[in-house]
Amino acid sequence: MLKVCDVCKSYGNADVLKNINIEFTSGEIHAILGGNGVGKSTLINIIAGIIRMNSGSIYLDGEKVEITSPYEAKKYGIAVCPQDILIFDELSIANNLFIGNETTYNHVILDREEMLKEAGTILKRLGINAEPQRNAAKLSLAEKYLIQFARILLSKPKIIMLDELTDSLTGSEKKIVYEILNEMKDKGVAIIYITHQINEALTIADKISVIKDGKIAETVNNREANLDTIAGYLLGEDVNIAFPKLPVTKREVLLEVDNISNLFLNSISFSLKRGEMIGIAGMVGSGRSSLLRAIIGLDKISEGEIRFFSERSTGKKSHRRRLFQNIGYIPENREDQGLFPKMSISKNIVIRNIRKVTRFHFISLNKEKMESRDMVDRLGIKISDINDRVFCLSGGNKQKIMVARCVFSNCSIYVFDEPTKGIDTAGKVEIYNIFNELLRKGAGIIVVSSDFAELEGMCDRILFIKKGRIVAECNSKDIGHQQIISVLGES
Amino acid sequence: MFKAARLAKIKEVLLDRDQVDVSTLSALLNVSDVTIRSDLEELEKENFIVRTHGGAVLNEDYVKQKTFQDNLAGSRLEYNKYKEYVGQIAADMIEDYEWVFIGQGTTCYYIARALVNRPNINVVTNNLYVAGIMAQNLNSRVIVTGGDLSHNMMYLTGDLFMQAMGNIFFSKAFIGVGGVDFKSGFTVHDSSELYICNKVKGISKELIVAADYTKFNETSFMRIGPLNIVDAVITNENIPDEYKSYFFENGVKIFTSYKIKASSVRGDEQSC
Repeated sequence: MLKVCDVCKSYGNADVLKNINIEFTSGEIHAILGGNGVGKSTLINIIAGIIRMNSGSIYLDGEKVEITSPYEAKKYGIAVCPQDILIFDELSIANNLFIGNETTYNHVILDREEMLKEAGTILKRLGINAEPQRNAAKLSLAEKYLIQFARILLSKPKIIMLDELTDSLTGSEKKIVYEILNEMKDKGVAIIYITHQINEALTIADKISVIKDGKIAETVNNREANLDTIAGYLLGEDVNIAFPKLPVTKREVLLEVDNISNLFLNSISFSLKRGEMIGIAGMVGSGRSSLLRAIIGLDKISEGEIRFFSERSTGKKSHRRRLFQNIGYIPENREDQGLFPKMSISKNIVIRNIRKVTRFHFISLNKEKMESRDMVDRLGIKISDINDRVFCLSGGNKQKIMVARCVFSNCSIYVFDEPTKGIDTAGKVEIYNIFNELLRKGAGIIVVSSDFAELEGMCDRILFIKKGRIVAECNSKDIGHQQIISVLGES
Repeated sequence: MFKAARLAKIKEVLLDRDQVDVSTLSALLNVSDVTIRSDLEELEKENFIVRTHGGAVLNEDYVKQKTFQDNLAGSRLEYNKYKEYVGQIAADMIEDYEWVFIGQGTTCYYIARALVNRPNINVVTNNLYVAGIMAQNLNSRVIVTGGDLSHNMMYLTGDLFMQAMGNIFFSKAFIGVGGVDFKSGFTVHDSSELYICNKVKGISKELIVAADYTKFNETSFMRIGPLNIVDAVITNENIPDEYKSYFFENGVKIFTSYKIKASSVRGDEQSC
């Protein structure tokens, strides 16, 4: 019914989708599995007209179609239930359900009564105990997802795409969703179901496709699949990759996280030593980013303490301030959250510790250049001129500039979110060796990554996080790939 | 001119012409006679010279003796910071109490230099420079293989070397090479070096090549094997990118040096 041919999509140098070929049939639930960032969401966003593809074509019932906007997608009967919540808090539940699909008299006047009545039925069907005229703000997170799900059903689509819908739902809520999906299936609707839970895909899907490295690695019928074969496809064949991990001697404790809790975290404790690298493994939404944000002071913690030890803690400055000065945070989204793309390389390097290049309250351009040239040389950043703007550099060099900035301001704890995302192989090797160098010189590193091989290869310890808790901790030497998947997979 | 530089210059002059007077030196170095005299006093304490009226004479016996010692300890080798970085990373790979082999070549000499202050190190070597420098580490165990001396490179080879390798095994073996290239693989200068590499390869768990960046895209005389024959490569970060990705994707750990100052990650030094 829906056929996707040779679809490619790339952002800058990073190819997200490379020649995707996949076919969806009506009356079938087709699950798409894959790790984080392999392009699952990109694929459905292309089909839904939210993102434009670079090349390729889409066929609907044998006819080639150009879907250039969500509006057109809707005309073709394609409905998407996105990963993020799109609920208008100030509107009533009924209005939220019918937005874009209002029941009307003669296409002009809204039939409020009819909508309220129908909304009541839908709420009952979804098992939500609320009045349809109430504000949507008071709904729980799971209920909001359910409303969003029901909204797309009202448009009577021919193709439904669900992006990790059931992640925040409990068992009984999931059951309702599965029931409804099966009803839709019997009516001949094609359902595309994106998930990263193998078990879930095996429960409800008729067909399962695995995306890996921007390609469809395998498509199988559910009857022929089991957990092991699918996990095998997810991991791919064993490529002989060697992570350059240097066995650096661990020294004194640098950071101690003691029982911290907040809205997303539940009594998390661990400690980081000089020369140690800790990896944090978890799915999106497991609380791994919240943990990073708590450590670097972006999110408040309601309970517990984060302590920082240093060789020369004089106690002069306030504790928290000293802590955050010593933590270098390198975010996942370097371009938006880390770098100033339109400023020069030298300014980007010195900006975190501008005092060091300031003389009599003025920034000394000479000093700025000298110091940043020194950093560029020390970290082997490949640039043609120190005054070039940052946006024209490659991903690996941008990442190195982020590290240079933290080194320049004497950080001793480095917190990386997805350090090698969108970076080519040679760049990865460079980043890994910079990890080694930082560790050798006495820094401590915390890394969040979706690339389990990377965590396993480079970290000393791995913490597994699920629903805001540390569910397991292990030495990276004693763990295999399969185990990582199984620890995170079981719910 | 600083004192250290002055002393070096005076030594150079003396080695060249055996004796010199104060006025010549003061004119040459553009400092006062008093300064030169105090410098000469210092050199006399070192036993490098004997002071005479109005000048100094080279203490030949001492200098000859010193030359022998320097030859053995390798301090006459030209300093190379890139090789030193490589040596430091290699030293970090060595764990306490494990037996390692350190082979021939100046890069290997720098590995030993980085091990001088590490206790509990066990080393087998055929490189006399390595033995000389490891002699300064009193908490290490060092075994020197026998063998025929290669005069210019100060390493041992031949039948006696092979006998020494008879019943021993290493957890890590570090070797230096002459060239690293996609087409020719790892190459060394002559047959005796090749001989040593092949022998060591068979009896060590991990074979590690230490090569500074100048060795890349170069081909020497005899081939050890293709690039994926070793377990790890230690080098500098300015090698071509293709090598980095090749090693990474072909099961060879690739370590490269960076130059972050230890003081800059100590933390808590910011003044803002």
